[in-house]
Amino acid sequence: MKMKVQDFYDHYQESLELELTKAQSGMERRIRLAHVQRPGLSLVGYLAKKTDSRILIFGKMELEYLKELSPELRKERLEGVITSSNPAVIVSRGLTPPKELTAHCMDQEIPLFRSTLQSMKLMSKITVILSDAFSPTVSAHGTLVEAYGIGVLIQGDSSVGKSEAALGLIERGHRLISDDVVLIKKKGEKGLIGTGPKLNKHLLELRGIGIVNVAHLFGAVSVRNEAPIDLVIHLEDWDETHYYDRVGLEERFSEFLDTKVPQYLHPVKPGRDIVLLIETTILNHRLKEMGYHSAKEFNQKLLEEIARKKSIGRKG
Amino acid sequence: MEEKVESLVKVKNKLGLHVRPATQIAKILQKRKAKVTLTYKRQSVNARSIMSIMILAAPKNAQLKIEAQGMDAKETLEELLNAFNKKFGEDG
Repeated sequence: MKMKVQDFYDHYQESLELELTKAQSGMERRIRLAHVQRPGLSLVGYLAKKTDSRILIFGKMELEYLKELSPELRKERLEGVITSSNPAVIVSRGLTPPKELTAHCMDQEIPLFRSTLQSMKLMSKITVILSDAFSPTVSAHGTLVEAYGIGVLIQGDSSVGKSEAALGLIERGHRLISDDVVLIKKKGEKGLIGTGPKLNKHLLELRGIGIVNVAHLFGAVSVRNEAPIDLVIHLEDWDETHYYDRVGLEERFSEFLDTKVPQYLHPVKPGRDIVLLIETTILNHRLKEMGYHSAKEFNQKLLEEIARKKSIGRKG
Repeated sequence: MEEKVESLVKVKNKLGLHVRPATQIAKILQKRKAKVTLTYKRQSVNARSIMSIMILAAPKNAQLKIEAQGMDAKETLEELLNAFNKKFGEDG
C-alpha cells in the first residue's frame, strides 16, 4: 500500500490541522511506511536509528535544540536526518520552522507542513490514519448486510439468491453495505471491516429488474458505508446427499486475512423463507455471544436426563 | 419387494443416545429409503427425527428395538446395528 502525500493532505488536512509551508514541491511523493517519527536523538548526530521513509515530526524540543546550534551545524544535522526518502516533514504546535529546515526541504523537494496540534497528538492521529490505510485488504464475492447490529456476509454461487436475500432483509428494515463485491479490511488484531467499492455503492443487482439504488428506493436508513464482518452465511442449492446441521453443535468457520469468522451453511429450496432463516441465524448468533447457546443447553439437559434414567434403572 | 426386519440392540456408548448418536442415526437414514422405528420402554419413534430419538433419552445398556421396513430394510438395519455396536465412534 502506498499513499500520495497530496491525497494524505487532501483527506486529513482538517483533522490533523495541517497547513502547507513554502516548501511545497514533492506532493507526488508516496508514503510507503505506516510510521511517523520524531527525529529526537538523530538530530544530535546519533544516526543509528533509521528515520528513512517515514514522516518526520519536529516538535518543540527538536526546534529548541536546533536553535542552540550554529547555522552550519544546524544545516549539517538536518541534512543527516532528512533524506530524499522521507515523504514529508511536519512541524507541530504551529511553530515556525527554522530557515535551514525550509531550505533543506525545498532543496530535497520534500513537502513541509505545519500543524497546530501537539507532537504526541499528531503522532497518534497519523499512526491511526496510516495503519488503517495500510492494513491488509482482500476482496470477497458476496453481499454484506447489517442486521440487529451484526454484519453478515452472504456468500454462495451466483444466482443462488444473495441479492434477493439482501433485498428481503432491507425490506424488513436492515441495511445494505455492498452487493456482489465486498472489500474486507483488517481492523486491529481480530476485527474485520467490510465496505463496498465506490462505484456500486448502495446498488443491488436483481435478475429481471436490473440495477436498483437501495438508498433511493428504501431511504437513507437502508444503507451503511461499512460494517464489521461478524458472521458468514453461505447459501447453496439444496443438496439431497448433503447432511445439513440439524442440531447446531457443529461449528464452521470462514477465513479472511487469517481471521476466523463463524460460518453457517443454508440450503435454499422453494418454501424455505431464506430471509427469515438469516434473521433467525443472526439472533441465535447474538444469543450465543451473550452466553446462551440453545443447542448446548439442550444437549446438557439431555445428558442429565439420560443420567437420571440410568440411575433409576440401576435402582430398579 | 417390501421387506420388514427387526432386531434388538443395546446402547453401548457411555453417554447414551445423546445428540451425536442421534445425529449419526439420522445421517445414516438420509441415504436410505426404509421406514425405521426405534422403540424404547414402549415408546416408539421415527428414527429419521433427531429430536424424537433424543427424547427417548436412552442411557448406556438400554435395550432398544429397531424395526425397518422397505426396499433396503435389511441393509439399513445392518448399518444401524453396526453403528450401535461401534458405540457411534465414541469412547467408553
